[in-house]
Formats: sequence, C-alpha cells, structure tokens
Amino acid sequence: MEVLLSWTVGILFAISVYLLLNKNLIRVLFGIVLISTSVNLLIFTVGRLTHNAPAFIGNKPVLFLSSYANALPQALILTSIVIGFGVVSFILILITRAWQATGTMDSDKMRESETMDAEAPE
Amino acid sequence: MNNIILLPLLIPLLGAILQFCFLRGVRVQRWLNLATCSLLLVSAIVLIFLVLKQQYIVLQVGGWRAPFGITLIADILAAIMVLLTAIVGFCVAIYSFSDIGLRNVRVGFYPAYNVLLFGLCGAFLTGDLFNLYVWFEVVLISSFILLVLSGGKFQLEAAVKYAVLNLIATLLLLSAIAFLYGITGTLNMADLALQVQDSHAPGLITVVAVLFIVAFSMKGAAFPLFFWLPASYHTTTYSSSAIFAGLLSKLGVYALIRVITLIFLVNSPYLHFIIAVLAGLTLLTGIMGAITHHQPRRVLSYSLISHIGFILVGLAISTPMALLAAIFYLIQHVVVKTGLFLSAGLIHYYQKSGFRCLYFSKPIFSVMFFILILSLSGIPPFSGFWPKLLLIESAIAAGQITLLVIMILVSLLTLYVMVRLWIQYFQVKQTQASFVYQVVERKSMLLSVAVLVGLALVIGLLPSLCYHLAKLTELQLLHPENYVHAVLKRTV
Repeated sequence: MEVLLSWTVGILFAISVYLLLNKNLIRVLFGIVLISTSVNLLIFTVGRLTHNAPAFIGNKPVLFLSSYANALPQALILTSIVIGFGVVSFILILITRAWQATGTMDSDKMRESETMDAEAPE
Repeated sequence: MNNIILLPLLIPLLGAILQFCFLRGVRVQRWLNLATCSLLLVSAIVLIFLVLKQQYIVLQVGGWRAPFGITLIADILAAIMVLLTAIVGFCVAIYSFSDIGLRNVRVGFYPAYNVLLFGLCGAFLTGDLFNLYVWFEVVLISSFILLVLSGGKFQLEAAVKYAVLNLIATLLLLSAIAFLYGITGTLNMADLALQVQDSHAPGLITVVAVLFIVAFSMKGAAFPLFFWLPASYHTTTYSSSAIFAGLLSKLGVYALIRVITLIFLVNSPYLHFIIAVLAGLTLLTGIMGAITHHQPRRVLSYSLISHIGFILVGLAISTPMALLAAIFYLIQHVVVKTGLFLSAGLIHYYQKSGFRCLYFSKPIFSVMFFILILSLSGIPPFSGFWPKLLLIESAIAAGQITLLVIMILVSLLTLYVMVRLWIQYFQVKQTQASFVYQVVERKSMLLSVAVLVGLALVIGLLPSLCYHLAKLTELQLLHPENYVHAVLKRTV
C-alpha cells in the first residue's frame, strides 16, 4: 500500500509540475490544486499507514498499545486542506480579475507592470 | 509571567477584529490602528527586556507538555524580530495616515495590515514546525490582500506572480516538513533538534535540509527563485511595499537561520557550502538587477535582494563572528530598507506635486534620504558599515576570498546605484515645473521616515548597542542545547 501511495504521490507531483510550467494561468491553477493534494497525500503516507487500528485507546491501554493509528497526520492534512482551499479560491478569483483587467490568460503577456512605470493609485 | 509571550499575538488580532467592526469609519480605523501598533510596540519592548533577563520565555499552549502540544518560545533572536516588527509596524501606521486613501481604508487595508503583523509575530515566536507553516500562510494571505487592494491592472498582474510563486514555496515547505515528520516522528523544533542528531539516516536528513533551504530561500528572495519580488513590490501602495520589504523577505531568512542553527547540525559543512553559493549569486544578481532599473522602488527591490545575500553570507560562514554580523546586518537592514521604501513614496508624492530637484526644495527630507543611502551602502559612521566590517573580517578569517571580493564589489555597486537615485531625483535641475500646483503637506509620512532615520543613526553612531544584542543572540544560537532544555525541561 505504501509503495502504491508513494508512486501516486510521485506521479501527481510530476503532473502538477508540468501544469505549473504552462503559460496558461488556468492550467497553473490546476497545477496548484494538484500539488497541494499530492502534498496532503504525502503527509498521509509518511505518517505511516496502520490497518484496522483505533486512533483513540480505551480503558485498557495495554491491550492496544502495540498497534494504534496515529491521528496527527490526519490533523495536519485537515489543516492544510482548509488552508489550501482558501488559497486556491483566492487565486481563482485573482486570476479571473487579472483576466478581466488585462484581457489575457497568457502569463508571458502579463509583463506590462514590469516594463511600464507602474505607480500605485492612492 | 510567561503569558506575556501571547501579547504580541493577541494585540494585532484584537486590533484587526475591532477594525473590522468599524469598516466604514475611516478615522476610527486609522486611530485604532495607531493604538494597536503602539500597544504592540510596548509589548515587544517588555518582551525583549524579559527575554534578556530570563534568556528564554516558553509557553506550552493549552498546557500540553512539550513534544505533544504547540510551543511558543521567545529567545533573543525571536524577541528582536518581534521588536523590529513592532517598530516597522508603528512607523508604517503613522505613514499610512496620508498614504492610504479613503477607498483602500474602506475595503479593509487596516484589518489586513494587522493580520499581517499578527502572522509575522506568530512566525517569529513559534517553536513548532507545522505551526510555522500555518503562520507563513497567515502572512501570505494577508499580504495577498494588501497587494491587490487597489485593484488596478498592474496590481492584479503583479499579484498573480507573487501569489503563485509564494504558494509553491509554502507547498515545498510543507512537503519538507512532512518528510522530516516521517523521519523523526515529531514537529516540535526542540524535539527535532534531538531526534535529528540521533537519526540513523543522515543522508536523508541532508536531503530534507536542502528542501528547507530551497523553500526558505524562495520565501526570502535568494538567488534562483527571487523573481516574484521585483515583479510585485513596486506596484502596491507605499505603506504595504515598505512593510513587505522590511519584514516579509526577512521572515524567510529568519526561518532559515532558525532551522540551520537549531535542527540541521549534522553534515553542516555541506549545507553551509550550498548557502555560500546561494549568497554569492544572490549578492551579484540582485545588484545587477538594481543597476539596470531606474524607477526608485524597482531599484530598491533589487538591492533588497542583493542585501539578503549579505545575511546569508553570515549564515554560510557560520563562525561566531559571522553569525553575529548576520544578525547585526538583519537588524540595521530592516530599519534602513523600510526607511528607503517609505522615502520612495515621499519622492513620488513630491514629484506629483511638481517639486523638482528635491535637494533645493525639500532640504530636510534630502538630508534624511542621504543618511539612509549612506547607511545602506555602508559608509563608515553609519549603520551599514559595522556589520559589513564584521562580515568582511570573518570572511578573511574563514578564508572565503570569493565571498569577500563579491561583498566589497556589491557594497561599491550599492553606493553607485543609490547615488544614481540621489542624482536623478535630488540634484538634477530638471525642467522646473512652472508652479507648484498641488501642495500636499505630508507631515505624517515625513515623521515616520524621520523616526527610522533616527533609529538608523542610533544604530550607526552607537554600534556597541546592537553589537551586544547580536552577541547575546549569537551565543544563544550557537548553544542549541539550551533551547532544547528550555522547551523540553530535560538536559541533553
């Protein structure tokens, strides 16, 4: 199972890097979604997988101590999913607004702010 | 008594909540923000005095014992960074009175600004690696908001680059944290320091360390991955760009210093070599970028990158004196760079009001700007000179001749770039505007620049003050076992 998950994480990372290198900003956004998902999967995998073991130990701790599921990786993933969702929705809006303002989705053409004398409005 | 460590977190958070309640009241928000920042400054000063007395202030949040819960810890480095955050936050709060227009206040500049300060203080004070990632995200999201607040075409364009590249950096950081957790099974920095030393796989640890270096150097705008910085800093409001330049890029460097001196002590010559290469290239590419640009904030952004290189040189050489110099440099650079970015705003407004040749029309401001550029380039009595002297001495002692040559070259080129700005805006008799058509008195902006210039002068003329502070910090950084003991309450 670990091997399968490791390969999945690797392949997802490769796909997301490919998408991130694209000129089209929507594909970049998909790359970000995918890379944050694969990082979550990575945390899940390196946190060790346990089969059929309780996360919380009852009144007879001695009985279960040999095998119990570590709840921490899940807690970490939960946190990073929440943060990732917020950030991805922000970037989706940002890219949409940038598209409305500049009229392009091509990141190569978004160079005006670097070449022109861009001064902030008050 | 240890609860005092929570004050720099709670004050900006409460400030942000209060300001949200008065989103329409522009004046209320401005004064509330100033009050918040003054309180933050007071609490930061109290914190640093307490830390100097007790060495470490540790708080286990929720009473969970150390490796299990989240630890907040203030050592001297963290306390210095919180104090710098408070000082810069206070100056920018004054500055924003005339810089931030009504519209930006109504769409929530001040709450976002306070959340940014909150995130910065949290990142400096945390003793937990995953918690550090969360604070990085808090800082990141609030900086997104500050960046796009004006909603213009250029801001949106710059924000896309800033957001995407920074997000990839935090995701790299998260995967590095995941790997480290997989190897050691802990996230508490003090516990990590122990576990990494006892680890059976030093090779794997080194790989993870390099991943951390990549993530933090991307955050701190070091050599190959700094392109988000000059693409975005010059588009936003002057207040935001000043706080970004002063503190945000230092956050990456701070985190790098923290993990390198505390956790990754195995196989460190290899890591130091990587950092040395990054530092040298950062110094050179940054200053080359500064030479090719003319707009003040673009020039300052690139010179900011090259000066990150100076701090990295200190970390790379990593002798006691070099670390001391790096911390000294960090302190003075935050003050001077913020001052310069705020002055860029003043230059812009004076130009817009029709003033040309500022040396004759605005003599006081000119003197202040001149002191700042001399401090940045490191001319003897001013603040940049002392840490550079220490860095050069330690480079000679360590036999790092290449770095030495690069540092001296970059110092000279910084002087050239800054003097060019000076000539361009202060001395050249441009075609005089026939009349001054819009006299705007920007007293609050001038005041905040004056505060920072005063601080830079104090650092420069009384170098022993900062030297001793940096010396104490360096002693703490070189004895991570005390840090571990303070958190875990057991001897190593």
